[in-house]
Amino acid sequence: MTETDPSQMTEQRDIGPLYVYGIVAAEADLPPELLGVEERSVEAIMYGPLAAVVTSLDSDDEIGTPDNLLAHTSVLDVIGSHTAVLPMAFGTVAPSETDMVETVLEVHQDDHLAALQRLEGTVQFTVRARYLRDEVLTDLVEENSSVARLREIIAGTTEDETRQERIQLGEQIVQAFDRIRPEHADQIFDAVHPTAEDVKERDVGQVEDVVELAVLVAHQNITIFEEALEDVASQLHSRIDFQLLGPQAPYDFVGDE
Amino acid sequence: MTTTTRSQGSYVDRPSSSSLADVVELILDKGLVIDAYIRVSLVGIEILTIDARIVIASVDTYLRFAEATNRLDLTQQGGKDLTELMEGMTESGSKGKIGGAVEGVKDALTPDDDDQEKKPAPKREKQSSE
Repeated sequence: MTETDPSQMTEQRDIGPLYVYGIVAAEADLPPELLGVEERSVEAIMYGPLAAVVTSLDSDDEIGTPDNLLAHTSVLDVIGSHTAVLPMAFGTVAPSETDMVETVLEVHQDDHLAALQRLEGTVQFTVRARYLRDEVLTDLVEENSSVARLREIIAGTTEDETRQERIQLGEQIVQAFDRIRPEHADQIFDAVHPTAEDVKERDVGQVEDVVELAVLVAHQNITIFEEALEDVASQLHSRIDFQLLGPQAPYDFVGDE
Repeated sequence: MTTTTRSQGSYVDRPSSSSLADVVELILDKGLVIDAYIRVSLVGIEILTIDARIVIASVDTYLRFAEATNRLDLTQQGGKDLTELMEGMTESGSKGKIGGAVEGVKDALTPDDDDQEKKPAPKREKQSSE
């Protein structure tokens, strides 16, 4: 018993594929005039207690483009700042509405409802902390005699002339970053953790990365979360750059649980 | 276009919208997955993804950091250095854990470092009072 609003039905949707952004509660109000993938409109298809947020596609639409990735995120982030939403993976395309209702809204309905209840009233932020490379390197040169010595050896030489020394220097520097990173990462984590419902540490790959955190924050705690982050940033700002993204949909807090 | 704002006296950058690079890193492999429905072949996104996830230690990375060190202008430095930051952390309560992390860094710390920390930097009034 599909409860799709007949006024929103189009013939095209019945035969065409649907791009699926995510799942919300059926009673959730979506922000008006959302612009979705391929610059098409965004609609909700309701079934029982859940609704899927979708866009009707033409079968020859090419979905995997940068613009569509940005559209996917911006639709979910706008919805996420209004109401609880379970984001689908980017590029989720159902062949038809019937198929989508069955696979997205009917299967695991209880799990989805429980997840939405858990996320109700919260929003995700992403915290990124990166070392200011040259500032930290300057510290290392001044404080580490081996780094300073190797730096003198390579000064005024080409990469070919001092390749071994350069590799040695670079390795010592990377190891130094590895030694200092955990303490700073912990300090930042500990600063925001008390203000959050949940925090997940993402894998970071670059030498300069200190930590990247996905933080689930209750709406009423957003200000104290921002203050806690500001406070730790003010302590570390001379060597670490802080970036705060969000509010976002809870990408890091759905799935695999 | 992504613009970044930092409000007065703030040490946290807040991009007004997500750049493609941000989005790729943040969400490309996240969200609920219905295997049969992932119909997307990425166009113009793969390179970025790979770029963002390159693993840390390689000879290229070493050479890149060596060259960055080579090019440093050592007269420019201001603000608290690493050792002082670590001391700041000790004051704010994580005593004991900090020393180990700094040891490797402060091999040959010289006392005249103090002169260099006085560069004017935006200062927040609030100080940790615990």
